[in-house]
Amino acid sequence: MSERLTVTVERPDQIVAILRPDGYINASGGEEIAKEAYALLGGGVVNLLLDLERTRIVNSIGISILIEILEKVLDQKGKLAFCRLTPTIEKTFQIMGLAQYARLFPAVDPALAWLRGETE
Amino acid sequence: MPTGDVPRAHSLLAAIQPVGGDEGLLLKILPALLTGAGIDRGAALDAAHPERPFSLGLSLAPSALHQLAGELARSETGQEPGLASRFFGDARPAADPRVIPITAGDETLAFLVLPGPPADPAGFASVVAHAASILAWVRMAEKVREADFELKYRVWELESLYDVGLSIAGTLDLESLADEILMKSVSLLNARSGALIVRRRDADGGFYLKEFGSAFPHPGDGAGIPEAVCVANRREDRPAFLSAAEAEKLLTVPIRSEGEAIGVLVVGDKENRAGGIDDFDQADARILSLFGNQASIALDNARLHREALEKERMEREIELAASIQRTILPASLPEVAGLDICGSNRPTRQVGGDFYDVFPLPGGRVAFTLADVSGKGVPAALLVSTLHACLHVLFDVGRDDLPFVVARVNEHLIRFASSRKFATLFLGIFEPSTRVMRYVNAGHNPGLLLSGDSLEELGPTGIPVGMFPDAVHREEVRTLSPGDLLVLYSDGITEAQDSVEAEFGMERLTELVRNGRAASPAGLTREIFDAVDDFTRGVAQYDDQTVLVARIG
Repeated sequence: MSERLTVTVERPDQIVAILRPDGYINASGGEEIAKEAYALLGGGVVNLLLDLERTRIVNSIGISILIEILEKVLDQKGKLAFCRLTPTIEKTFQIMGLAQYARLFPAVDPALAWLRGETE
Repeated sequence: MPTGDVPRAHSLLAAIQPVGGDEGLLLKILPALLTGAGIDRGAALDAAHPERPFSLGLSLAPSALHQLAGELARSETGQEPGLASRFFGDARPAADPRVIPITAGDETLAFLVLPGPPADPAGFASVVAHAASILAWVRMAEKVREADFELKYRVWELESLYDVGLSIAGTLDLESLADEILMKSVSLLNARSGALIVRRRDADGGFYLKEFGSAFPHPGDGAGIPEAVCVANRREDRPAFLSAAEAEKLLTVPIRSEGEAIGVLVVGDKENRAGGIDDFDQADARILSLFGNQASIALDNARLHREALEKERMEREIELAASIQRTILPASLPEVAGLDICGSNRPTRQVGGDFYDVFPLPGGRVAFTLADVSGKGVPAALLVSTLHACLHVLFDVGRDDLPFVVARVNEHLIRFASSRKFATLFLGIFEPSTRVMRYVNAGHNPGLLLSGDSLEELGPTGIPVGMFPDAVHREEVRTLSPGDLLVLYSDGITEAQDSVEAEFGMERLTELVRNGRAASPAGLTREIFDAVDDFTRGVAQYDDQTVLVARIG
């Protein structure tokens, strides 16, 4: 059984991008996500949604990488949202401070609406 | 030096946003420092990572960097003779090279490498001090961030343990508990893989294995399960059964049940931010031990729950068996002219398979039986029910040829009862008008016939029923006299045990029978039970006790 993380990127419109990691968000998994996120930021896409439906485990190194992504998004006046987190990961994000500056959503649509500025 | 260099350098430094400081900060500061020095090329080195210099227009000698980094790290001023010049190697000689430390308080934060002296030393010192304060501020901010992250990580650790504790209290679903414990262990220890390997307590003695990240073997016979925490940062330190595990470094803690190590919680390869693998340490062992303890508690809870369910199931079965037995044993015995008869049964907690009955037959005759089927509980009760029904049907249709009756019962049990089930049976018919008793003893305890002073044991005349299809049972005949006493009993009487496992035995029983010749059947029955109770003195018995006593009138 391999938990090597893969990331797929979806661009539903010009405003936001959805990153869908599949696997363990650890050092290598976090770097995979960061690589895609920084490519999007470099291309001017600053509103990112991480759909964690297929992620069931994250470690502290993965979280530190997500925090770095969040900082870079905020540096560029963008927004970062997470959706479809397991209860364990949601609690972890709350404890580790990710939920202070990024928003957590139960589903994709409300997260996209927030990223597009359609909701508060 | 142009007069505007120092103010411009300060202006450049002021434009730096020191939020989110990283190694790139030195690269941002370097142009301001060079402007302040009035020099167009130079390099900056982080004191903590001098092997990674930031350079502007300066070609440093890579071969010298590693060695110089070490010397710089040991140097308080960076001004040792020859040190600066060696930075430039042969690639681009400098006239008067300098290595200038950037310090805040007692701490050297970085080094600035210049090919010559600054044009305005006093102004340059002011720029360096400004740069030092920015660097110190950023370093402090980084330390606060790290401390904040560490604090949050500890909270996460505690919350994870708390959550597992709640889960243990709230569910007996071992699969989900094992998954939660394993995922949290791997996650909190920054491991790349892990497994929970536990010996099952069922009959096959196999192992429960839940793994994540990579494959883990399990101990074939369980002999290699370590009793203690094992920090195996070298392959030779790992438990033998994990020698083929893919992970390079392992940390295992034992899973215990009832004081015995029955498995391990293992994690493999603690990763670091740089993508490498760190050694597991004692702090990791402590965290994993806490999860291991949680796993042990969860497994024990599940086992206790299973045992409680099994006990409940057994109690229901015992009640059902007792209910079946109660419906079969006669509530009262029929009145038979010329025969005073009394029977009694005391079932044990496990409910055995004794039964007795008396069947009035045409012509004033009476059939009587005492049987003991193999096994206990519901299976035994069902066999008793079958035997009871067989006898009733055969007597009801007028069959009184005892070898024939026993042969049919034998056939029926072999055909319909499960394998390895059999019954011992004493079956007799008494005709009051002639006082003739015919009987068959199919492997049962000898009946006791007391006639005057003579006590005869009426031993087996064939093997128990239900064992072999072609079994033959011989009928015996006795002509009895008024006052003769016939005592039938089950082995629960003679094999009743006291606290040192001594048996009540035939001798005590025959003495009771001899002494009870004047007693009524009911009185003798009571005396037998009382004597057994005196002998066993409250020790729990595991076999039914049944007695049937008849006196010839």
